[in-house]
Amino acid sequence: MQETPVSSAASRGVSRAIRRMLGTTAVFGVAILASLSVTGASYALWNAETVVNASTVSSGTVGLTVNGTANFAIPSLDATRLGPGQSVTTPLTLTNTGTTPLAASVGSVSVLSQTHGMDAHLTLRLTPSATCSAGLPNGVSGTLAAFTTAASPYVLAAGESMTLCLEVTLDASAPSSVRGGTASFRMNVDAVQVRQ
Amino acid sequence: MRHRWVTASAVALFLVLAAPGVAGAYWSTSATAAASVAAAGSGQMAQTGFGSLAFVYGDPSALRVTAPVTVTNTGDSAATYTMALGRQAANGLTSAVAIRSWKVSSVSLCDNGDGEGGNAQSGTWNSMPAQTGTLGPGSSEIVCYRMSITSAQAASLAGSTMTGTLTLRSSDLWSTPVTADISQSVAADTIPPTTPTGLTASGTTSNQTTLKWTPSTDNVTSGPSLVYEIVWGSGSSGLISTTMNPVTFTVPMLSPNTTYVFTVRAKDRAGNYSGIASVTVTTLPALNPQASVMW
Repeated sequence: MQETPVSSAASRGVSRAIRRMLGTTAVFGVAILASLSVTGASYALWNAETVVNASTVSSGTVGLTVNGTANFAIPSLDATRLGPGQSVTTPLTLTNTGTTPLAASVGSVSVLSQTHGMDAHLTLRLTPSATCSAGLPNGVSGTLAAFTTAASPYVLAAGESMTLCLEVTLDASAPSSVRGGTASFRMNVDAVQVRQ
Repeated sequence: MRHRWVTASAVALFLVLAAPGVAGAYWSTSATAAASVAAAGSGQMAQTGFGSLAFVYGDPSALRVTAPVTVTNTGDSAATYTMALGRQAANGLTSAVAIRSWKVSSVSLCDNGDGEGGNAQSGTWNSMPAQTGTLGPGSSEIVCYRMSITSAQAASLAGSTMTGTLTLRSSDLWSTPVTADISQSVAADTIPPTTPTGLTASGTTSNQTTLKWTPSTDNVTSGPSLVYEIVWGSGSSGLISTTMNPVTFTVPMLSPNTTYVFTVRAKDRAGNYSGIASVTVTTLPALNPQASVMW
């Protein structure tokens, strides 16, 4: 039977459509393979997630507090008037209030106000310790302007708390022009999720 | 076909970027802690009155000195003071002076009587507990100091001198410590020893005699420490000997048949001389040499 022109044309159209579909599928397949090969580790995570029962999956939360609040105002630290070389201490409790582990650290310190140039002569020391007193060993210390504990973050499991001792010292070499000075500062504690 | 490749590339790029990379897949949070600190103000301390404790102890009327020392916070901030006594070089006097100190509410309550306030500190110039207190700006405290020695110490330490120091520090570490010095001493001994008594000469021969006397006494110098000077006269007077506390002394090398006047006097450590005791002695004639020659 001889094919009619119409029949031949229809047959060619179907063939082109099939080829186009196959070509498109191949192109996207290559794209997906390429993306998976580039992302590396995520490939494994993705695979791991595939075995989790969908009914057990829930979204996590992150939360961090200092002494029970997100913005803690340390009281009465200025009740002690500092002379050169003297320090004041106060305990701080970091709490991971979320459902995922966190690595917390003091990212920076902001000077809110100061007089007599006092801020330039202050040193902070933050030490994980159940007790709080001047001169604790193994803490991280630095000048007020450059203080950070980013190199030694405090890892907190979900719901875990850690007690830190903050020591503020007026440098022994502080000049007498600092007499009567004040300084207010804010420690910015940053926390990021820890991969499990 | 070109559209498909463009679309596929976009999908691939999206998948790459949407993959759980380090930055994109981590949650973060933050908290803050704010504080204020303050530097101390001026808590400079000053004192008055310590100079009144410069003193010369004497026997028997001046064995004790009492004077108030007033400490004042001349700064603009409360501070704690520490007032300590000490001495430069230690000697018998620094350890002998008994010091007591107590706080009084008025300088009039710090006199040289026997009264004393509560919570008195005690010690010597070598070791004396410090007085401490906290003073607000412009405030003062009065510390009464009493220093004394005994009559016996005044005698034994006559002529001694020492330098006492006061150091007043403030808890304001920027402040300057205040120091002051005073001198204390014991009056020099001006009382001479008693005159030796009972001076006699015995065992006199042609060329020697032995003197004996009763020792002198002194208000300061102990008996064994007295020095006796023995002098002879009769034409060839002079000091025969200076010796420590003898009760006998044999004078040699005298001339025969000669009259001598011997005197003895005592001298204490301050150089005070006693009166003179004297005795006259005549030596025996010389022996005839021939008398002893045997034929």
